[in-house]
Amino acid sequence: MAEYKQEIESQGASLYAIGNGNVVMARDFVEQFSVEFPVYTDPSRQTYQWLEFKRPLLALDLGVFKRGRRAGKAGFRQGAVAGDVLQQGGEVIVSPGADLLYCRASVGPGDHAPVEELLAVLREQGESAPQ
Amino acid sequence: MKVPLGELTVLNLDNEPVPLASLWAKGPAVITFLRHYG
Repeated sequence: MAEYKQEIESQGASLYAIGNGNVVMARDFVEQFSVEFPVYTDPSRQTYQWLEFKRPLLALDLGVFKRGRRAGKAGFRQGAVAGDVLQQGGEVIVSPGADLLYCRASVGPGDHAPVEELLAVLREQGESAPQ
Repeated sequence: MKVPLGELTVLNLDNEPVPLASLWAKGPAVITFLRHYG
């Protein structure tokens, strides 16, 4: 997602990440991966629950192996898990009026919203915003 | 009935509570929720 930060910002939006570990884990994450956008954390996972992001006992789907292989080829390596290992994530887009413009729950590891979907929502939101 | 999403709080890297609504106060917010760090 970080590589799309500029494109997201060019649509007038801001990019954030929220994790579910403690603050030390979040700081380590930012440092380890040189994250250049704001990162927050929700150890209680209340935001995940509100958005109904999944927390299955078995968080594997058939695509996990393909996504894992793709990530490995891109140089990503799974490190020590910091946070709730069962909690799945997702992506949301929220407007200044607090409208939930987009909400997609991940089905398993490595499952992320296509960036083009996010950008299309932002473009549409920009076109329909009052001038 | 759920509280509004914006009334939930998260912690910043200084361990300070931040209302989620502040993330979209000035413009649309794209928020990626991580599975876990690492």
